[in-house]
Amino acid sequence: MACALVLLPFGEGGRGIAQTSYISVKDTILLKSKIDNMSRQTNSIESDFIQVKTLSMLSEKITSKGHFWFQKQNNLRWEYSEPYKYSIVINKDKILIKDENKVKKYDMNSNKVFKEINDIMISCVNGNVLSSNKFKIVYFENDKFFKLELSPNEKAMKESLKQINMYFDKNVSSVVRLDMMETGDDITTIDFSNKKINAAIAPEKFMLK
Amino acid sequence: MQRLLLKNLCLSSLFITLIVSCSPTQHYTVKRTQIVTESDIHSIIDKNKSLLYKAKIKLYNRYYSGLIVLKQTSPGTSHLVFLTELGMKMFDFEIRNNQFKLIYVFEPLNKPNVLKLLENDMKLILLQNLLNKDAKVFEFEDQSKLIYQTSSGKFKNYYFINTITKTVDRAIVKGSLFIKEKVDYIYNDSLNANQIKLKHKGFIRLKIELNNISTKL
Repeated sequence: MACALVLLPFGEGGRGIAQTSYISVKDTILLKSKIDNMSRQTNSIESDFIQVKTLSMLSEKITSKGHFWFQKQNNLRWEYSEPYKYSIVINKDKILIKDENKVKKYDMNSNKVFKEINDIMISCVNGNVLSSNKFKIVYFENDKFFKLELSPNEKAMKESLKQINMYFDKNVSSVVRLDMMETGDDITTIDFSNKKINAAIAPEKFMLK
Repeated sequence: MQRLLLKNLCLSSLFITLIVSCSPTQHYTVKRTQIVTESDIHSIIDKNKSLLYKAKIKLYNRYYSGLIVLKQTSPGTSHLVFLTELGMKMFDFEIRNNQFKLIYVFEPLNKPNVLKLLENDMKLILLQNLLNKDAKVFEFEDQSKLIYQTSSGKFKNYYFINTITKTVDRAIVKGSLFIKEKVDYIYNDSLNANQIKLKHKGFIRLKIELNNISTKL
C-alpha cells in the first residue's frame, strides 16, 4: 500500500548508482548471508540523508535534506531540516511527529497504516525484509554495488507501490540508497552520507517534546 | 409601546449599519463590468516555474501538514499536487481551462466531503472563481486598489487587487449577510505569494496556511 512509500532508510551519496548497468548475482545465498550478517551486527545507525521526490507527470523534483537515526530494536528518527523542519520518531509502539513546534503522538497499534509503515521501515533498516514474504526479491550487482529489487506480493501494496530498490556497497556494510517506485511512476529516492554505524545514540533522540 | 418601537428601530438601524459597514466594497465605487482574464491579474500559479508551499491545515481540533506543488505543465493546464513531507502523494488535481479534475487520491482520503472541501478551497485560492468570469469592478478612491466581484450560486466572491502589481491581496466569499471564507495573500519581494492564509467562518472551522519554500533548497 502507499504507506510503504514513507519508508526511508540509509546509505552513501549515491549519484549515478541507479544509472549504471547491473547483472544478476550468481551466488545469492552468499549475498543473503552477508546481508543477514550485516543486520545482526548493526545495532545503531546515524546518517545524513537527501530525499528526492520525482513527480513524473510534472517532470518535477522535490529535494529535502535531513538526519536519520536508528537504534535496535524498534527506534527510528527522521529529522528533515531543509527546506522545511519536520521530524518523525518511531519509539517502539509510539509514533511522534513534530511539525515546527507542534507535536502529535499516535499509538501504532491503533492505526493499521502506521503499523504497516513501521513494519516495512524497520524491516528495511534491519535487513529482515529479506526474510519477509511481503516482497519478491531479485538480486543484481555491478562493480560497486549490490542492488535488490523488491516487488510487493500483497494486492493492497501493489496498488500504490510498484517496486523498492535497495542498494548496498560491495562490503555489505549498510544500505546506501533506496528507491521507492510508485504505480504512477513517481519515485522517492533516499541517499545517505556521513554514516556512523553502532555509535552511541542518546535516548532523547527517540523522544519529541 | 412607543418605547418598544423606538428600541426596535434603534436595533434595526444598528443592524443595517453593521451590514453596510461590513460590505467588502465600502469606500469603493462601482465602475464597470468585465470578463477577467489572465492579463488583468497576476496568476497564483507561476507560468515559468513550479512553486512549492509548506501546507498547514487545521480542521476543528485536528492538525495536518504537507507540501503543495503548483506547476503549469502546458499552456492552459496546471497541476496542484499535495504530498506528505515524507514524499507520499495524497492528491493530484489537474486544472485545465479553469476546470478541476482529480487525477489521483490516496485511497484512505478518497471521501467526497474531504475532496469537495479541498477542491472548493483550492479553487478559491487559485482564483478559479474569478478568471474568465464576468465581474463587477469596484475602484478605490485613489485607484491604487480595485475589487472584482463575481457570483457563485448564492455567494459572492470579492477579489482585492493591487492595481500596480496586479497581485491579489485578499479574496472573500460572502453570503447575503455574512462572510463565509477569507483568503489573505502576503508578498515579500516577489509577485508570487510568500504566504497564503485561508480561513472559514461559521460552522466549518477550517484554516489553511501555505508558506512558500520554493527557493529554500
